[in-house]
Amino acid sequence: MQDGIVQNGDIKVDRITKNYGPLRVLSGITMTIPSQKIVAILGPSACGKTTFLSILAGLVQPDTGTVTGLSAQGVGFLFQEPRLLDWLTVYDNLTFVLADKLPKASLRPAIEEYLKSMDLSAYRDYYPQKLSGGQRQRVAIARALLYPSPVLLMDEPFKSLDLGLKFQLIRDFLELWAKQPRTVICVTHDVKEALLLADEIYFFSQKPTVIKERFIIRKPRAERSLDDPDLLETEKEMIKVLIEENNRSSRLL
Amino acid sequence: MSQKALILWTCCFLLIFSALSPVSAVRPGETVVKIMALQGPTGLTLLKMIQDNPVLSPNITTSYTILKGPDQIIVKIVSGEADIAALPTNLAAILYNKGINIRLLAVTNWGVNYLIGRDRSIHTWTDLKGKEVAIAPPGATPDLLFRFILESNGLDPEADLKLVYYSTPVELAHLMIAGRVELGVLPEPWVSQVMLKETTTEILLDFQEEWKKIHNQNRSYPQSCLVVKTAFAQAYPELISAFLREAAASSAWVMQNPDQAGILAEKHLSIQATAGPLAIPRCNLDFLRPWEVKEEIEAFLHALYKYNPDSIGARIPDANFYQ
Amino acid sequence: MRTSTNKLARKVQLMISGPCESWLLVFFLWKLAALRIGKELILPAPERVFAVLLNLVQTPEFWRHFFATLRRGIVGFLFSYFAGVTFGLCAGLNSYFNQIFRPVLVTMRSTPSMSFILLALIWFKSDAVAIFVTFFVVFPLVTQNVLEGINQVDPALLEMAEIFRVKPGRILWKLYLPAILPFLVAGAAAGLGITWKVMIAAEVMAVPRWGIGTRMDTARIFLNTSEVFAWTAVVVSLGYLFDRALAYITKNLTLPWRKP
Repeated sequence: MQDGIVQNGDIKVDRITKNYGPLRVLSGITMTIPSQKIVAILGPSACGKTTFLSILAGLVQPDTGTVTGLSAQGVGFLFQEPRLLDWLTVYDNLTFVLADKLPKASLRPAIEEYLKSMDLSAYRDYYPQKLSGGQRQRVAIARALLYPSPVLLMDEPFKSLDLGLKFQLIRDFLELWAKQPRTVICVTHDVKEALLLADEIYFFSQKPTVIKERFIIRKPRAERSLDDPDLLETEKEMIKVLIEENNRSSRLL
Repeated sequence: MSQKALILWTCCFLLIFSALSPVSAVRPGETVVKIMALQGPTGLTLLKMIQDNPVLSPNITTSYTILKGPDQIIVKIVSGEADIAALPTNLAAILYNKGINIRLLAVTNWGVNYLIGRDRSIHTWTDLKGKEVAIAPPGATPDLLFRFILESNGLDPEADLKLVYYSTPVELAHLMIAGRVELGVLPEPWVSQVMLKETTTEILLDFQEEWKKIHNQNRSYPQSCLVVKTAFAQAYPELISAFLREAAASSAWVMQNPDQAGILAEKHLSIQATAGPLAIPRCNLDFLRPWEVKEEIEAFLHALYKYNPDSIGARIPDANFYQ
Repeated sequence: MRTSTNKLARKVQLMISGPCESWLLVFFLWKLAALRIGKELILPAPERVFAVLLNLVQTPEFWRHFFATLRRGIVGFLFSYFAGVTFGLCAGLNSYFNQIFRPVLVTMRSTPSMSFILLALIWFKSDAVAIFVTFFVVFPLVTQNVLEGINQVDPALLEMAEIFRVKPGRILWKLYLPAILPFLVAGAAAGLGITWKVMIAAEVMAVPRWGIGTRMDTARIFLNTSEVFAWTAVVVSLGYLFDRALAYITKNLTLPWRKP
């Protein structure tokens, strides 16, 4: 936490713990997420990543510890699956969430604009089941970014997409995000994804989960690419940590 | 069509043809004469016989069965199990018209229907104008007779008064005892039971007297009768004569001894002992042979026919019915 | 949630596509039994019942009885249905309400419909009896369907709506109701199917001035078995008609997002 000062709009997570019965899931997580930065959280599967996200979203109350800097008005959220309502068109799916959140006059133009950026204008009146998996996730991205909150939480949002589509979608996401930057906390298990997205990357340990490592990526996002030597170096380092943690956990088992 | 279906249809046709072959209907020789009666006033005529079980013919025993509802007595007659039966006259006509081989033996009672209630302003049928009257059940004999009498008095049953229906006289009687129905058409013994329990209830109008007046005759309508299986009557003419003698005597005894008859009625016919002595004089027992009252029977059946042909089996029975 | 509507559609298809032989079989067996018994009083032949029915439909009284029962059925059904949906939603969305309401529902469901009829006969005038009894039979059935529907609503979607703080009213109208629509349809089909049966039973017992059940009872009193059969055929057709109409509506008007 050497960055120190909590700025206005930063999210401060202070010594969060959470138990499910006798099982300790989170064991004292403390971090400061700076305003308008993207933070990725990596860790072995079944560590407390999702629980941590649920606490930030306000779905779960921590046993001890506090979270400050998050509004009670709800946060933007991008799920692993699109989570669209089958019986509403693309447009209606967006208004289902946004109708009371955006001013009436700007609702329609805002949606049209985001649909256009996501190459979805032609699918405005389609039902989700007529769209491809990638198109559905684009609708979900539009919904999450249109949501008027300074914070966006993401739970492995690109996991179920195939490789080519995945990086295309990450680029599209970043493009839209840059238009109107906001604080993003992204849980993922994919090192490459984290390297392309994040300003800071936290490593969570096995349960009971603590913060194991923290990486700061200083290279501007626009200059990053998958074959960048600097990033490859960081990636190696990160994979080492990940393997270490996985080995530790398998010894524990 | 598949082979399976073909087999199925072949079986069907075979079954149909086998069904067309005559069914054996012969019953072994009888040594018991089975007499069956409907409980309530229909069986009242036979009350003394049921109690004493007089010998009708040597070597032949007599058995009496009291049945609860018309459905049960119908089953016994249709199946041929009952040799002699006491039942409503229109039901006898229906069965005869449906091809059941029975003959009329005697008419036993001449109407047990009354309009009762607490409304003292009713003295004549025309006073019923604008009133609500309860009847049970709709479309049955009391309902049809009531409509006949109303129309004879220049009233339109649909327009001039409100008719409310219940499914059974028992139900209607309970509601009248509870004071929830002001005016109701009920047969005996329910009339007496209601009046015993709800003492402000009175008999306001008498169906039987009105019928006599309308038809200008001194007999009312033949409500209940005795029938005999045709084959049985032909096989045992002496027994039938003996039976008719005993039945006439029984009928006379019941009318002359309402108190004793009331006790027997509770024992055999499910009529409450307290209501019996009150009800019996109002049951208008009069044991008459069919040929003596053919005109009255036909007038009765004609009246019912006019309102619902089904109520007598869709036609006036021919002369064989009265033999 | 797709299986229940499919089941309904299959049932309808079965009734339309395969009736020729099955009806013939029914009539043959019926005719056979009638010949064997040989008494119209007990089992009239099918052609006799048909003739009686033909005569019956030509009388104005037939239509008056028919429409009285039809009206009573529709009123009773709609009333029970909307009450069932409302209560089902309340119980499905509120666990406290559900806890209080569940024993009542279980009691209603396990009470014989004849008990309702007998009690209603004591409490109400004959016209209300049939509607009351229909309510007590159809209402728990519909409620049960709605509860089942709510239990299978995708929790991921509910979590999404919760995270985005979507207003409860919108969640009800746009999320819950469309999600349970197949269950609402299945509930309507089951409810309608039983409505006519219970309605006739109640009418036979309560004998309203006009009603198919009343006429069935009169026909029974006067041993007109053919007419009892004819009225039965009328009621069966009525149920069949409503079942098909509902299947048609389901197929054509709802679930546009499932259309290929």
